[in-house]
Amino acid sequence: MTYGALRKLAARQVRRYSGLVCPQCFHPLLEESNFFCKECRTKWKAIDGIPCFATGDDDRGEISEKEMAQMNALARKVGWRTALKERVAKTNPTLYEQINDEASADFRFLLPLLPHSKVLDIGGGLRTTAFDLQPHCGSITLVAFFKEQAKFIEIRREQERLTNMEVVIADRLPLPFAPETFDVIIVNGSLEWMGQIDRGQKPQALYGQFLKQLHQLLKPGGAIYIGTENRFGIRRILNEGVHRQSRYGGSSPSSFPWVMALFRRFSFKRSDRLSQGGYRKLLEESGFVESQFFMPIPGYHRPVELISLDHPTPLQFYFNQRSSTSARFGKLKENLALWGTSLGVISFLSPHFSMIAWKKKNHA
Amino acid sequence: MLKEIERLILENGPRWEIPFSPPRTLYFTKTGGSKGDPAAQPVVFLLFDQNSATPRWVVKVSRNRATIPILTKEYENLLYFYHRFPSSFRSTLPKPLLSREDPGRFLFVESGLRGKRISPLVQPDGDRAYRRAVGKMFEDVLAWLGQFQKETYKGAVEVTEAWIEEEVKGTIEQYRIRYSVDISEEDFLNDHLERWKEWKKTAIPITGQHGDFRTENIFADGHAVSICDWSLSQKKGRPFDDLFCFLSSLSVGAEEGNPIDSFENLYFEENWFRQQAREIVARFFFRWELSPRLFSQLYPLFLIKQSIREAGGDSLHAVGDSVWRERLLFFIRNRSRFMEV
Repeated sequence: MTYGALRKLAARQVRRYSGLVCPQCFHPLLEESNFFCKECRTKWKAIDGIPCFATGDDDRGEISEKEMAQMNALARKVGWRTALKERVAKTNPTLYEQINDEASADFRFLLPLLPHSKVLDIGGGLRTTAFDLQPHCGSITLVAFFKEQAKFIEIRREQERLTNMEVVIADRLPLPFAPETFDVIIVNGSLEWMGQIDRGQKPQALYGQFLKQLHQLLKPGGAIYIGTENRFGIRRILNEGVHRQSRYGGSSPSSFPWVMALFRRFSFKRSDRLSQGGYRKLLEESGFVESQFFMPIPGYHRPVELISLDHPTPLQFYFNQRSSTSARFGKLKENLALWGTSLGVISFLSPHFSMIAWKKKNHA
Repeated sequence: MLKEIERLILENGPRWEIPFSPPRTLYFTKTGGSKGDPAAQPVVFLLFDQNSATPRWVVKVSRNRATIPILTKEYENLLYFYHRFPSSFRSTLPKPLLSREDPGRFLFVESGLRGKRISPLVQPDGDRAYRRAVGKMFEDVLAWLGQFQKETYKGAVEVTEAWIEEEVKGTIEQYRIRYSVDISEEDFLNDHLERWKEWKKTAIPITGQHGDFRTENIFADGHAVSICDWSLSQKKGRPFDDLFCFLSSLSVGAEEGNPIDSFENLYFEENWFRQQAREIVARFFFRWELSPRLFSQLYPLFLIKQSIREAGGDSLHAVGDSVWRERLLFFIRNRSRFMEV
């Protein structure tokens, strides 16, 4: 069998995994009908064989669509790895490191991944997360928001000859999948962008809709993993490492971070991130029965350490084990950290959150 | 995996603790070894319950196939050492509770240790009270090491031509292959090899070895010392390596973490801690009925061995880093000032 035939076969096999539905009427879509919905008569296009359900023409990825298109052309010729190195390593070394960082998928150890699990990764972007997760689950579906990004992922999938992965281009709301399709859903670093999809609505309302949708897509007993920023995160208050393009975050002049932070602190309508309590409430309202919160260190992009925030002890232990300074100021900082931990201040100011929430099991 | 671990604890807890008080909720901390290369390390879960200030259980899980042998070896060694020790000494290391091997994965559960990790910081200008406190802490650590080595003593090996050939010459050859050696290094290596001839017929003791006896792995609860992370342990090894590893892990007057400054302060600068280190080393050698002068032969050999320890196989920890070679090069350049015991 030729390489081309093998590729086609692999591509066909992939289609088996997810139950694609029409995002308008939620009627099942069949590949044979080329993503044509027999119910509402909508024809969804496929871009280079990737089903595309995105309605807008967004260009807000980590790399512009134009540059991505050039990189994709190169990736087809010389391989994705070389293309990435040539195009990204020099211009954006941080992104290059993030894309190749295996530790970005370290949250997998919290998840109930089994050899037959069906996983949905929403907005993982160019990062290697889904590729690192795929050996540990049955199949993984990647939702990309940008077309050229999706093409790059597809090129990488083809070149790595992975048959348990598929890429879909879609918007966050609504997602083109049938209810109760997935065992695990991952939303790592894309929840805070929700506010961008409809500027007419409050971000919290959009979060609610999005999480309710994810709850529907989960099988009973399934889990959702979310990695996101904290509204009151210390870095956010100090205006460090905040997404510049997000709806409100990082828009403050850097000379007045505290003023803007206080402004954000009290302007509940404008915040596009939530606090621990806010996320917990939202998860509960969306139907999740149990949620666990962690502080990812150094951050949700690289959760090498994940410390439970549901009780002060793990965080206290963490700071206790770290304390190794002899300077007075350092000691004072350590004592403040320990004191703040027992009062819940540190957990309140955690820069990022990693959370897992569970959908209730069906009891026969 | 959290649910799976929870189930494992609740199902097996009554076998491990009698009476068993089941945790109301388990709180997890997931750690991944070194921040530099977490992908090469097994994953460690610390499990807290609502009452404990320290982890009640520790679960270690292989990250991939490459980390399975490391964990398997650690569990085997832990079982070996734990059951070899008298019951009074067992509480100083984690109790191996359960291991489970699934296709492509290995995990084991051990009991958590009490206490706080000891601080690696040593202030060369500390006052008398500080010196006493630090001295006491080191006494406790070295008392533990002494007891551990006594319990695992396996006899002695005599320094012979064959031993020098294998242990010293072989190591030096590997070092030469791995690094491009300049003239001063070459002179030192030849000189070092030559000096070993003076030590023929010396009996080098063989004991168990922790292998990663750094301050990071040592917990102190009052005077009680306990040791975690047995992944690099060996049933047979040289007792000195653990002592040297411990001394090297200290930050002597180098709070910002420059290991070469710390190395210099410990072995090359005159200060109270150098005196203390000298005494510690002397006593250690006397305990094994060896001349403390042997330190000036064993320590460079230890540095050479650490420098060639590759990041792979059993050395996935930070021991294979470039700092060891930097220390060795510093030692070679400044060996006339090196601490004499």
